[in-house]
Amino acid sequence: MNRAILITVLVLFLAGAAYADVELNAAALTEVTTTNAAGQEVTTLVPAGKVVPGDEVIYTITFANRGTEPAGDVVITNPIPEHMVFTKVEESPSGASISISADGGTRYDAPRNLTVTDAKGQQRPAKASDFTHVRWTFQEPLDPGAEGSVSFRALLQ
Amino acid sequence: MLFGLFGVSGALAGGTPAGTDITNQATITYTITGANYSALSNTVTTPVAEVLDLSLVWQDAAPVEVHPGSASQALAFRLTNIGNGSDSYALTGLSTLTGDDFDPTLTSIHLDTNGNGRFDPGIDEVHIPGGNDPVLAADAFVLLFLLNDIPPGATVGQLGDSQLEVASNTGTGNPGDVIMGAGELGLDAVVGANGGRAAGRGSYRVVALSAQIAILKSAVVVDPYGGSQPVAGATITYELSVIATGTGTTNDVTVSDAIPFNTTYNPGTLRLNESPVTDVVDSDPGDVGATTPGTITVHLGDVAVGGPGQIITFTVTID
Repeated sequence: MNRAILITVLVLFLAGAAYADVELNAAALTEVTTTNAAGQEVTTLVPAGKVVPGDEVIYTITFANRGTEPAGDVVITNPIPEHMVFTKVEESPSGASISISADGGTRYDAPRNLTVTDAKGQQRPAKASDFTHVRWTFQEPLDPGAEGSVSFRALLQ
Repeated sequence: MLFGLFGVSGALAGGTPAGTDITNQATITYTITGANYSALSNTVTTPVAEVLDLSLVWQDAAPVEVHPGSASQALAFRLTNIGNGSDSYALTGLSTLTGDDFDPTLTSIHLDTNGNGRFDPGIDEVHIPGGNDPVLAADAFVLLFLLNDIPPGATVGQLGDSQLEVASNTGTGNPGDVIMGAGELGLDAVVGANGGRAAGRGSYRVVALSAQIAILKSAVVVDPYGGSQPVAGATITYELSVIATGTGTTNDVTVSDAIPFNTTYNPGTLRLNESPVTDVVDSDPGDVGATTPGTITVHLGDVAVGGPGQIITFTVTID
């Protein structure tokens, strides 16, 4: 009995260690514009507190390879939150390509290649309000210790 | 009975309901020496606050036509909650405005209790500040009436304006001001782009009363003795002066005047504008005692405002 538990615990520990190699952290930020001592307008990013319809939120996903091996075929996917509409990609590493899904995450492509079916059964080009997911596909592996972030803007309906 | 009072406009025009939590979580997939792995980020939660915003639109298609001196004339306004949470509203009227020809006299504000878009006295309840301030869910609207009396001295063609001002009871201020805990369910409320206020201005236009007929009757008594005592044998000559006032033309005017009791009509004395009118019914405009026994009847036809006055005269003798 104790040996079975010990093996189970070891297996869980090892599995947990492998899954922890690349860490992902999500944050929501908003822009605040203030006037500094010199009378200039300064825009800063602060954690999103209260938001109201019409506000734009900047979702920032930071990633880090905490393991000892390079991580290949890295793909970060962010479903667009309910009540939010994608506005644009804010930040993207130079080695990553961006694609969008407008069908719930089945097909990803450049926005201009996406279509949706309208109420009459006709195909029409997908609009931002149709987007369901945004994805970054990294072309190069992430070396051990490498960190970075991706971010996109979305508007609260 | 308030079933008709509130309406709801288009689906969620006011936005995501206050109190909704917006959540976001990203996923990552990668390979390490060919083996597949995936990981989730934390979930970041952003609560939606209540925004205070309203729209007020004057509903009458054109200035409301009113007569000088008329009372309780209504201007209609539609108030919509364009925020994302339920709110109640303070209502104030103001009629001492500049830029118009006269100041209406503000009397009261009423709610369209039966929701029929028309002011119904006695049915549409009067607004009592702090007592029955309208409460609107997000996207709901209510119709309101601003009532004014029109000064008797206002003249035809003049315009008089009256303004309805509405403020959120949760708070007003600069757009973006946060009122902690003041919103629905104790959430924070944020003053919207309109500052939590809205105002609407409506107009009245003064028009004349429509055409009315006025008859001035005078009498001249001549007695047999050279005087003017109303004794037996004296004659009374009546003059009826008929004019139209207001605007327009009154059609098919007929004047009837009963021969006074204890007098006898002097045959042949009926005149219209000094032309004799026979006593019998014929092609001329009048008769005596034929259309109606004991009565002078004169048909004037259409009488236009501004046209010449019509003078009817006839003489009787006191019995």
